[in-house]
Amino acid sequence: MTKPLLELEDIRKLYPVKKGLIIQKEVGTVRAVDGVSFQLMPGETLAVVGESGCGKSTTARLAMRLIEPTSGTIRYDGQDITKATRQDMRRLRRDMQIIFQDPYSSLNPRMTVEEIIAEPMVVHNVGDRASRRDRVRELLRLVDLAPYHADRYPHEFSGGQRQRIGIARALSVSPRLIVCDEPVSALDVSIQAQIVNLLKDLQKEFGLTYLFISHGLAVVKHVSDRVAVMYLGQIVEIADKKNLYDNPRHPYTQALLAAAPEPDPSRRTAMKSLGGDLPSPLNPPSGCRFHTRCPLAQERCRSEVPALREIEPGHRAACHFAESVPSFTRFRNGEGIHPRLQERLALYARHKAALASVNA
Amino acid sequence: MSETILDIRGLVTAFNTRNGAIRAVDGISLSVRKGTTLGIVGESGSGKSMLSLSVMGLVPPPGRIAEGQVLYRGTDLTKLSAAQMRDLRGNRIAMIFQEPMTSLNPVHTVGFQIIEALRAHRKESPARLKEEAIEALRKVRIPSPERRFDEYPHQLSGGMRQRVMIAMALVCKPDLLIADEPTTALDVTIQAQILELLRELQAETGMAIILITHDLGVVAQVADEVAVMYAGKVVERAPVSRIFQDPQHPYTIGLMGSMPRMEEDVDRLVSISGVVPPPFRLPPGCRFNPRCPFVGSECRVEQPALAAMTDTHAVACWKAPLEEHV
Repeated sequence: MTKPLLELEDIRKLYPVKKGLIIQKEVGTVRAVDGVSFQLMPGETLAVVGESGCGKSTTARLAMRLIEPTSGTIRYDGQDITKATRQDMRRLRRDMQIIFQDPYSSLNPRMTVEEIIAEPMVVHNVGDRASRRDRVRELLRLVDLAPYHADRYPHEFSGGQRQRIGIARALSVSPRLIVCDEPVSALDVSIQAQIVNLLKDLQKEFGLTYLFISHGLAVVKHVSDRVAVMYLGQIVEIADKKNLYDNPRHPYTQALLAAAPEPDPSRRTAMKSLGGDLPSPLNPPSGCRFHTRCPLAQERCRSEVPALREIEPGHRAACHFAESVPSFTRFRNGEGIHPRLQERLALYARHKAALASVNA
Repeated sequence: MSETILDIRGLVTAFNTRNGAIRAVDGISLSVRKGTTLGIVGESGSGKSMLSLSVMGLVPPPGRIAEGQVLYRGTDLTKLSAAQMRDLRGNRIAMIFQEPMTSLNPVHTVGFQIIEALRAHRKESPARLKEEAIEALRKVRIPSPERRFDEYPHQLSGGMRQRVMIAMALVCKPDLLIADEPTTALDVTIQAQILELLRELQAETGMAIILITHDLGVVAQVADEVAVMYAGKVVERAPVSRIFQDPQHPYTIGLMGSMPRMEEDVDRLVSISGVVPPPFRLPPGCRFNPRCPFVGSECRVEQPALAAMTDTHAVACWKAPLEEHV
């Protein structure tokens, strides 16, 4: 059996809330990430989904130790890195890179594209000036930019192109793990699709492992092998993609799937919304954290915290009634796309491919 | 057929810049009838937000409406004085924006801000105004509206703030609501609540809605008619079911393919290559031609006009109907 590349075990990140200007008193704790565990296998994509404030981005940063966990263990390639020194971490980070959500604020406007992409290589002493130059050109080609872009500045590029630069920078030191923190959320629809396709191509080519953070369940279905759903700092369900979408066992997962607007005007009544708002992580509800919004909540849910337990092999859910939750089958393959649209999409793809080969 | 509330005819909104005159909205004709929703779809830079600002008479300088008419129940809004426009705006025509936090004033209570909107158009006693404001909060399904009335925006969640924005927009009972990406900043479960609310309120009041969005899923859920915009022009217009069953413009098809779907497992998305051209560097001919997989020589020379394929379906493409030409 292969070893996990990255393993988080009962990771917690608590932020104290203080009051008072001179004499500070702790008045509470924000439980941003509260006991998260998962394993990430080499070459796979694990997606972490959830609404804003659920702790998914904090989890991503904890996994790379960009912020320090309050408690828990992080293992990278079998080695405990929770207590690794700064020097050790620096070496390790050559192996783990990150792509950020906002392509505008994550690139230094005073650096040329070449300097941006080469920076990780400089930090990690990879190659000399000439070889780094060649590598930048090669990376630009990989992300479908042109070699002459190397001398330009970020402001000359569109959002999608900047995200490509961010990807090239992450790839420059040949990492094994890339944390993608909402890499397409800030982009236009047509550009999102380009970037999603690019990330999948790169994964195939270099055998990359992705930890993919997103709030969009539809995007996640396209990029991931496994999916973890987070709610108020905890994983409520984790499963293979197929199981999660075809047979979600946690009411929150079902609600998320049900709330996504379906691109099919003939099925409008299908959209069911979850009542209420996300409770504050400063004072999470007792028992099951979802019980305040759960349509199936019972007395037991208010008092007893459900464990994240195995429902079937590789499928875990944190719900007392995971076995008896009514099945949810909103998405059947092929349903929802009109055959004529299907044909036209195929026609579009064929012509696009033909045109691309002519140009090449 | 119900009454036409808004009829936009040949609207051009232009900006004079160092790079020459830019037409952010370039000859757009659209209309929306009472009780229906027109969805306007486009990516950033397509001109969809500038279109809504033009209707509201809020084009930021140095922009100006250079040509065309905006007929609201037969009155041309482009000919009205600033005072006349102020009378209509917020009263008969209301607007909600994407970001509820920046559109609400943080130093005033929710109730004060709703009353402010109301007082601009109605002369009534303070007690009566307060009653109406609370009623407006109740209408948008805010629990315990009497208590919320005295709260400040920061005390509310994102979804609640968007409800307050809607309450403010609807307090004068407008017959046209322009919603510019009303759910983009919201989480998916909250988005579903807000879309449902808009649908219910429309059924109750019969207002017409212009919904601007980049999300085809949202359009599928709430729009009756759809206009797809690209680089300042409408490239396709049809009833919502036609758009999703029989899209004709290559850009519309590309958008459909770019959208990841949950009911489908495809290995690669059908993406659109390239990027939206900046308005000062538009290509000759059809503006989509550099990105279009069906491009032909005629597309690079002359711009296609929006032409009717059926009574309700219009397309601006030399290759339409697609199967006959490619």
